[in-house]
Amino acid sequence: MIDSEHISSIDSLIQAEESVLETELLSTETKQGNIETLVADIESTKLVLAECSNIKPNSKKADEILGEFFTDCAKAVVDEAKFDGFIDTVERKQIATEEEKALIVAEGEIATGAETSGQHVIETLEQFDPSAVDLGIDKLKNDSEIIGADLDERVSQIRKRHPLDLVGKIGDKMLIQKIKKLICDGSYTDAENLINPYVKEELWLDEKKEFGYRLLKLSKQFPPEMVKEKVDEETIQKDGTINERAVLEIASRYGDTLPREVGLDILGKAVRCVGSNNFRIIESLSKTIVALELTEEDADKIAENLTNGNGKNFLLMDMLIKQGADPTKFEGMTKTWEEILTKVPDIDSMFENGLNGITYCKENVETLGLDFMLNNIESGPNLSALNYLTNNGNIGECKKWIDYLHGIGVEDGDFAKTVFIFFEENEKLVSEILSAEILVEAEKKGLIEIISSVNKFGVKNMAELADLKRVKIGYLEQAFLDDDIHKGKKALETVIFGGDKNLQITVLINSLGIIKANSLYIKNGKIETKDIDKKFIIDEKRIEELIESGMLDVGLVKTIRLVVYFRNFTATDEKGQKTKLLEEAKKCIEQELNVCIGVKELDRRQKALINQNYSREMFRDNLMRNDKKLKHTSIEFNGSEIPVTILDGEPFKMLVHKLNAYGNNGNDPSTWNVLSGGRSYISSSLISSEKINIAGGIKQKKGTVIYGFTDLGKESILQVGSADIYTIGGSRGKAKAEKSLIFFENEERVINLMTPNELLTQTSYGKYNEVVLDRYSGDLETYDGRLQPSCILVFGKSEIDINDEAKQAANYFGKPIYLISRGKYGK
Amino acid sequence: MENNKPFSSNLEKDKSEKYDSEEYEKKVDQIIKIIIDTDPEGAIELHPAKPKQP
Repeated sequence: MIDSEHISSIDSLIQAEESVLETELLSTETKQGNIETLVADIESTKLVLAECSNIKPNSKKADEILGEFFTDCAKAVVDEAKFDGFIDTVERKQIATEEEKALIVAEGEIATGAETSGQHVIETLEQFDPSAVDLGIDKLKNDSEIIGADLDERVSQIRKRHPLDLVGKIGDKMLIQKIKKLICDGSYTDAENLINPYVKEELWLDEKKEFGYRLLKLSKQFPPEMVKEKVDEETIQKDGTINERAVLEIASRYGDTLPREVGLDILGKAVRCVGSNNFRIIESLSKTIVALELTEEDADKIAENLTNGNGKNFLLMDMLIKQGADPTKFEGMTKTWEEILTKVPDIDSMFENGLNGITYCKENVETLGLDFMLNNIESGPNLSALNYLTNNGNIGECKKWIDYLHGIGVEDGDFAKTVFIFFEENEKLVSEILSAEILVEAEKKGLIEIISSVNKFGVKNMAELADLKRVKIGYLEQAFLDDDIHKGKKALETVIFGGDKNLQITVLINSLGIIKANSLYIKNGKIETKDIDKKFIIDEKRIEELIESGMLDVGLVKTIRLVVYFRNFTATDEKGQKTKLLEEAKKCIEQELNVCIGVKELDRRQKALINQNYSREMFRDNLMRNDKKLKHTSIEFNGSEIPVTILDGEPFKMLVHKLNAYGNNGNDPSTWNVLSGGRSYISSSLISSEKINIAGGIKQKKGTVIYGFTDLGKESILQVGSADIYTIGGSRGKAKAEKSLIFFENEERVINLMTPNELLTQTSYGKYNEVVLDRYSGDLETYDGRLQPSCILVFGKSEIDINDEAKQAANYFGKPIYLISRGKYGK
Repeated sequence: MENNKPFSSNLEKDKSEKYDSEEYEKKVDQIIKIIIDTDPEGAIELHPAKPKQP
């Protein structure tokens, strides 16, 4: 079937091709003839697309036209032999330990400046992957991005390089054909692996989301049997054996979205298949289990499969035990894992808070301490650095460094999340500091500053540490010399606003909707203008509105104007602006005018203002007691009196959360305050007297309990979207949510800050919005800081409609029941 | 009830970071002064005309 998604997919393909074309144009080896053919190819594909945009999706004509396109793609002549090396390399993403180690050593040397060219990397790669030479790896020698990169960027630059990126032998046109063919064949992963080094990251991300979306649609629109048939077709090979790779791919990518029947099936297969990829897949599988609402029988079935699986599957084991699987099936779980399971409040945060690190570097638990690892080690670069240190036997030294920092009063915070990277990249400096008897005040101050920025300014020794201003000025001057305007901008932001990578200043100010948005888009989580010379224009009217509504204060506006002023530095350097800005920034450094803390405060104050605004709008029973319309009564439950407030047409706004929204905690209210109910975030929806039905579940099913939240903490609201923002127990977007208040619309588009009224207006009819609440209330005295519901909502005609589950919940929390008379409100 | 805090202690530490608004405002004003001294024309952006009153 051809639909708009296919068209959109083709569009992405064209974008990808254009990007490839760009690469091709830069390639000296490409012949003119190839380019012409390629241009013609792209042009013809564009024509197809243009035609499609004018015809009705799903129509016969669309089928014909796009059918031709795919037929054309399928005709692509591909010299498969040439790709053997490619695919082989792709499949070897899980590089054997020794090889990975060698690469890390090489990267480390380059990153620390021990190597000044890519030669060593080439030699290292040659050692473990001779085919890389054939693929043109020697191009690294002239890779200006690596050689020219800042020291601290070299590792990431090198990691971005893949032998595929160094294509010499295979023409780019051939590659396009191959990509097309793979897409036509549905081999998206292979296509992705081939296309990745070529297209800009964001393009491919779109592509990937598109496929995910397609499958989601597939799983919802088609009968489960049909999806199952498709899944089987892809996973069961002709000889009846299971294609492990296909199973892993489907389970990890689509596990959560597959219909229950297929999900279970694929889950079973995946569990049997788990091998070196198991960890990557487990996250999805564990979510799948939640999403599928497994029965005990299902859980047991999978548990049986697990007994033959890898011991690392403890997460699944834990989930399954919670589902009712027999714990004796998991004998052999080590004491350490049991300890972890008792310490970590929820399964999602286990992934976020260092479980990867612990899994891969178990031997460090004793040296670094379980708490330190759980709280501070995340996946990504810090974990890679930890691996490197572990493999090199440097973890003991690193522990000394951590103790030293604690000793001079540096608290974990952000430092701990980058400590291994810092140690790895600055070993000489660290060693010098550790051997110094005592740091003078200037050195200590400098140290604290460079720790938080992971030595972004490149301090090499104690003398530079004591004179950080000079180093910073040098850093800034160097950045301004570069033709790439981004480097100057980035350096400016770093020296003036602290350069906290987690605090996205432009996102912060834009979430208020004060930048005119016509040219904004998101790149790597940051808002950018498409045109580098395009200035951010402040919407003065919006500022005034926000001040008037209490969302903003004059002090914050001043900071925002400063951010925008520095942001608007243009590439054209009109009227010598570059020189003036450099001069200004240097003076700021001289006078130590880093306003980093202020910007962080801006974030916090903004959060507070928004939370105040929402809190103010929430329904308050006690404020309405004088209202004659509001009726109060009470009901009895297990010997307790439960107050009931009847809303019989009165206006209200409330945030509501359906218990069980993420899965299977049942209706037992006590789960709210125990381990299994302890997800970090609460997904809620804003409803109002005008829109009571938008929460999707307000058509209250028998036994459903709806929690209402009207008493919010000062920083309860983390994210707002006028549609589902796809928090899975709040895990998605978590890092962003923790650091700053960001408003998403389906993660794709940044939206302006929405007041409760705006949110309700923008929520489409029949849909629901999402307001993500922080489970942490800030009040440690009450249930260790877990946010508690303010009321239990029941939609019905009279007290008779208040079911036992609602009474039980109200009784447990000691909160009233709000009985909302359905007939008195609109939809 | 289990004795598990929903978040790591880091968040609490982060939240407790001290902020001296007076000192901060002073810094911002100093930066603005530097900009005005260096680039009076560019600094206009920092002092936009007030929107018209209705």
